[in-house]
Amino acid sequence: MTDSERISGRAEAVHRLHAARPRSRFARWSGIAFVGLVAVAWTSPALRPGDFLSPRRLANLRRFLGELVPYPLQQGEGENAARVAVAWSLDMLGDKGWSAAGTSLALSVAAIVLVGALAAVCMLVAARTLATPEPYVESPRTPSRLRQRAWRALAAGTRAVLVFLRSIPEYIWAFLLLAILGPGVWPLVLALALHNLGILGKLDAEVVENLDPAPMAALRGLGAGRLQIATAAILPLSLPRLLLFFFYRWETCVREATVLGMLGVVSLGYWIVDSRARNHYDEMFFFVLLGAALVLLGDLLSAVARTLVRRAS
Amino acid sequence: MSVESGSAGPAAGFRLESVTVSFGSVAALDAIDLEIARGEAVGLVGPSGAGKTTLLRVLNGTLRPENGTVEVGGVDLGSLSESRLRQVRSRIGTIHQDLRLVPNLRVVRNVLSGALGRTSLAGSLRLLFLPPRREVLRVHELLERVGIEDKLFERTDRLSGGQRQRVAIARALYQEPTALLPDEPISSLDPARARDTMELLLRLSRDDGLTLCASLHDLDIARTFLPRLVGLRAGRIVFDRPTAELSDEDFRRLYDLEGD
Amino acid sequence: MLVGARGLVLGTIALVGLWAAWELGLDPRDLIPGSGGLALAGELFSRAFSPAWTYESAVPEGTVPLPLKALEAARVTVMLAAAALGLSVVVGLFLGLAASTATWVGSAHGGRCAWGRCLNVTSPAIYGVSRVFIALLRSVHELIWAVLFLAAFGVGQFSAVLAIAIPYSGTLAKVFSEMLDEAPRDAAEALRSAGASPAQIFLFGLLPQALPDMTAYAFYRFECALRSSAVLGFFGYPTLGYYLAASFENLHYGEVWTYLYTLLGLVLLADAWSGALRRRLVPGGVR
Repeated sequence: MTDSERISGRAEAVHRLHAARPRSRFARWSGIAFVGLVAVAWTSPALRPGDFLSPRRLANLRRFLGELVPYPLQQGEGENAARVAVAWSLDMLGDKGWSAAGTSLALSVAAIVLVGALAAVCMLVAARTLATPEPYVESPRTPSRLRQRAWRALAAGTRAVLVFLRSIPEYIWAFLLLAILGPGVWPLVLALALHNLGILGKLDAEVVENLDPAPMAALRGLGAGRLQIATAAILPLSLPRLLLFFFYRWETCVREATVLGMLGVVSLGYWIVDSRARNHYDEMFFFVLLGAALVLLGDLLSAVARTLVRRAS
Repeated sequence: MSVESGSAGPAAGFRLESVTVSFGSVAALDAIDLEIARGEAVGLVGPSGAGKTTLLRVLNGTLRPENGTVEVGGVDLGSLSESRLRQVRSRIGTIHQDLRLVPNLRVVRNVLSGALGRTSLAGSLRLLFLPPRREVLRVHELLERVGIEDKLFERTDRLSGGQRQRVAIARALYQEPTALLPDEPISSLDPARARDTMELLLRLSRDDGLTLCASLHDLDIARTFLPRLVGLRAGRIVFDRPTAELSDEDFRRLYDLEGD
Repeated sequence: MLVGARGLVLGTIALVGLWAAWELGLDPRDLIPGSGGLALAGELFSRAFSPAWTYESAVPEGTVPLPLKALEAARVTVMLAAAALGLSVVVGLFLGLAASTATWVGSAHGGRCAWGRCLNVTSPAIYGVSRVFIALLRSVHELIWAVLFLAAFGVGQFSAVLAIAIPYSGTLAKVFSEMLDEAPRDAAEALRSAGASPAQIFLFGLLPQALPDMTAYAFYRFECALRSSAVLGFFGYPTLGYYLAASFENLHYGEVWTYLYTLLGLVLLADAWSGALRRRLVPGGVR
């Protein structure tokens, strides 16, 4: 065999291997489809960034940015600008800021605690590993078909409800609930709770499904009932992961709580749209910054809490 | 051409002079003197923690000793800039004990990554996304030499442990190395496979004229396959002789738990 | 964890929850809707199983049929979400690279050449600045950006895209950087011992191992972007939220459900897509 023959033989072999290579068409087409979607979106005429930066709009923007400065400073307090700005901010804080930020924070906390408790219950019903009359038993004592199906249906039904809750964003839940319950904080708490229950319930159920079944099977062998297993094994074993997800969702609750007030309940979001409606852009900007500070605080607390949980488990 | 494929130069020899490496207060290597001639095949033996892996890391230029000189192919590594040192490293084919492949890439890409040390950044991007045909053929040839050419386009994590090890060997060969440094190449293989692997490593280094320095915990294998053995214990060289001259007593002393 | 520690953690959470309830003046009795609210809830939920197929009040001649209108709103919702997420992925990728310790892991060794020395000095600064920048991007909610942009520019779809893209860039960057940090470093170490440069180590040894996770996460965020895009409708952008709010204000509850179910369909579709992709890309992985 000559050298060139050997090379062409090799090329043929490589070609054959290349043609038969295992590949995921789905991933490839997903990527292509997504890039195509983005390209179509960006080339649609409604999305013309040129319009965004027209001279008229730039002039508007310049005026708008000027009005973000605290009102007393706009009046020209050149010398002690810093002191005036601080005094104005403290005024704003004492007047509305603290209580609005406190309300937003309390909204997020009340909602996530409610969700944490509800999700811990939901996961015991929604987890596939528990969706049987005799969970964690190797050879069940011939459970009746009916009971088997009932458990499966209950788990599937719970998961379907969770998906529904998750699909509707907090803001729309709040919008609907405010109409039903009337103005107040309950609609906002419930809105946060419903959407996040959909997410946390699913995550918690997956935690339970991924637990090592040995401890539960052992308890089961000792004759423990479903509730006993849940309190003695499932909850303690899954708690670290549940807490991680709990704090991760709280972070997003804080973010959402800064805007839900826009629907007319006195909290940060309320003052943002209120001051905008009154054309007091300096106040609006103040509340935006306060909201950002609150979110950063939430991120920080959540990160600290999750680090502690990781270290303890 | 994106890959400068020089012919594999003559094998490199190694020379260590009073090399000392310590991690914290523990001396991992304590004033080691060692000379490995070009094209020689040497085994490093000794209990775990004796400093075998550390010695290999000194030899391949990823660990700078705090004392002593390291010469690879007659070049003192201590005097080299980082980029020159990278060039030296690129010609030393280390085969790590835990293989260190990228599991979710195809075999061909893992092998191609052996050429990074002699390739520009732009060239390596081409190598990753649109590998030139000639390079793919070379990878196929190397895989054929290690006996898994049909796995060319397989995902690396779908391969068995033994097959993955051959990918790591092929990657080292694709470096066009002057020396092969396998670290515990047979630690996770059954006896039959272990022999196959040792035969393969010896054949490859003999065919290409490469220096071979393997760390081994299995004494029987080491004595069967390697003509010269270096016994390491607690960072010191206990013996360094042709295998034929070593007695059972030497090995007993190497592993003796009491004496020091 | 100790039993005592467990009780302490749960007890503290419960106490903080009680503080929040007290702070808000939450009274369980307020959960019972008034007669008006009850009637509204009855009307609203009675239409859950019979969403409208035609408008519930007279519409001018030539108005597009309701299902087509819902689909058009869905199209705008998808387009805004896709445009925003496309931008966020690009920005998030660059910011995420800058904010990952894995990116800079190789450069600590490259201190001899001029470029390497320069990187050695600047890399902690680039890393730190990008981390702070990411936190700031994430700290303002997309609806607040929408309000700001409305005040600054008026309604325009480009501002809606920006409103979503800013916080989403931050979130993607944060998660991308964490995924890069968690990618195994052993292959990178092997490439270093084979003489690869820091950039090559990153491209060949680290990025490929994090890429499946990053792709799956980006697709998950698309689902979130769809929801955000729909909600932006409440601020005047022509997405599903706009028509949903309008129908609700007009007491056309059947239409409300039409739009709700359209949104539900979009989200479920995105969820199924990202779920299928995740199963293929990340074997054995949970979200």
